[in-house]
Amino acid sequence: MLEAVDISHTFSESTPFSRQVLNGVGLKLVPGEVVLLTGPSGSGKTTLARILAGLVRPEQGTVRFNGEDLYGSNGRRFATTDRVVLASQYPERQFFANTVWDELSWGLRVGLGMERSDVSRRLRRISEDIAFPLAQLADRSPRSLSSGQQRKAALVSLLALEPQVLILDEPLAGLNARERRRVVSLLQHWNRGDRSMLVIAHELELFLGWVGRVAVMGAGRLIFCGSPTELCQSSDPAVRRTASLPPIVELSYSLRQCGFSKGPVSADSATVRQQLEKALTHLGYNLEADT
Amino acid sequence: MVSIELNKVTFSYQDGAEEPVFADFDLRITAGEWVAIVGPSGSGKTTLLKLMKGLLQPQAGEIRINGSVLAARELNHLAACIFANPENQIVSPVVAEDVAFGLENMGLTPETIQIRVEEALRYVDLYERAAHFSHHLSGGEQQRLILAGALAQQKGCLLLDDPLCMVAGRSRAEILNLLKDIQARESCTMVHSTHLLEEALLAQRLVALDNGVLVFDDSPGRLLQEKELVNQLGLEVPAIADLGEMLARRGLVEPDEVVTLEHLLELLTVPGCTQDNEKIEI
Repeated sequence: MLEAVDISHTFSESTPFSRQVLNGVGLKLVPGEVVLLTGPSGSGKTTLARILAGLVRPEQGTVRFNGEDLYGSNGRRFATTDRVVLASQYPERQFFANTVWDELSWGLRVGLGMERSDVSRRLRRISEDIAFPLAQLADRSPRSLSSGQQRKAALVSLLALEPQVLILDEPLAGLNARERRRVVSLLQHWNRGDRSMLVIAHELELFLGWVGRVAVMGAGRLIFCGSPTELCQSSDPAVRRTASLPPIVELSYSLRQCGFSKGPVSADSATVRQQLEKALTHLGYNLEADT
Repeated sequence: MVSIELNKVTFSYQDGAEEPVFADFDLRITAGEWVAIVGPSGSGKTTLLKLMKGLLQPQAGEIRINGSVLAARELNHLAACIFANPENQIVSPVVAEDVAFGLENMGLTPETIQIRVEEALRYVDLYERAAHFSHHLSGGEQQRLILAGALAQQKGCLLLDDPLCMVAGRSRAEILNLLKDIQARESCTMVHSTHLLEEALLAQRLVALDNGVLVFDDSPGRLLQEKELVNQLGLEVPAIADLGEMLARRGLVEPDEVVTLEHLLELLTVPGCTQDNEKIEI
């Protein structure tokens, strides 16, 4: 559906400030798939996302959407703006309207020319889904909202477009645990039919249980791409380090490495707890009540 | 070494027009302490740090730094402060220049500035990017850049408002450990707000705010035992720390100890356990 083909990109090429951010990266999203893109800061995740969304033209390589090249031979860009949308790391950057209502409804009213009652219905439904208090905040300036609410408002405006591909750059930054779970469950809920999603995040524990694939970037290259289970069990220390696997996964991995557990490496805390309990009992650390 | 004391502080963004963010708020932070502040969005974390830094003035009550009520100007010499959005805080187009900016304002010699800039950039692992454009940095790198700017000033107090929310897993853990070292070595007072309990657990003391009210003030390990409060604050106990209760029942840790991965791996180190995957029958 959406495909990055052999992308290389350098900022300020042939100046003293030149910085190569991507080096031969290929990534394909198939319909209905959710891919988690992770890696250390500065590894090129955001630039790849911007290129996939058609916001940045790559110096080398190309982007294809439903088989069509975004950059045809005539040099004109094939527009995907309402079908491939990107939620930026800085939600406040996308705001331009004076009220939350105008901001959120703009794409539907002006972009898609929908009737006011339909706009209202759709925005209310999506706001409810992610617990965004639309009615209460509709007349406020989007810039006066707290950072967590700005993030949600930006998400509502994008989901309202009902895109085919949703690209999210750090959608959980600045949210607390409860809000994170809420956004994650909204994303899970959104992912049905042939809608695809690319999520940039480093909170792996919230994604490993449900995403289809994980892509790990390190220094401008894609160093791993596979299922969450494959990643959790990878014996390549560079991949484990670059992906920054959650401590609970590393614990499960160690338990397996040491032969304490035979099951797959797990990211599920209840499963790992059981694995650990077994190991401790085996080592003779019994419950105090039992001894 | 900087102590901070808030006495009966009342603050409102629109005096009289809305409920105050803080009313008769008291908090004492001892010199050299690392205090983490947690609480839901809108609970007053950023406002509290701005009050401490003198960027906001209380309508009632007083804020004493090292025992005196200081003007914002004097406070500048004592504390460095950074906020969550790095873009608003970067002033120079070049990475090293941005770190140097604060030091130039302090009137340091070019030699000292150079040494400090280099050291601070190494701390946050951005030394290789010293000559890069700051707008070419990623979100996480920009946060590390402004943290370097604050560290380079070597002030006795660091006020950090969710400083690592865009920094990915491993480098976040590394920077937190580094801050812990600096804080211990320099006896720097550190007040650090965060949305994540895993970050707050590293501090010596944890303060929780809910709607401008202090609802918890004790060691981080104690908060883990208050499940209901953790939930009320919208926080979540990290999966590893959550194993603490089970370990305590086996007498392996103290009930209020914060369990880490290193801790657990140590417990599991037995003669039969080697990295070449020797199997033990269970």
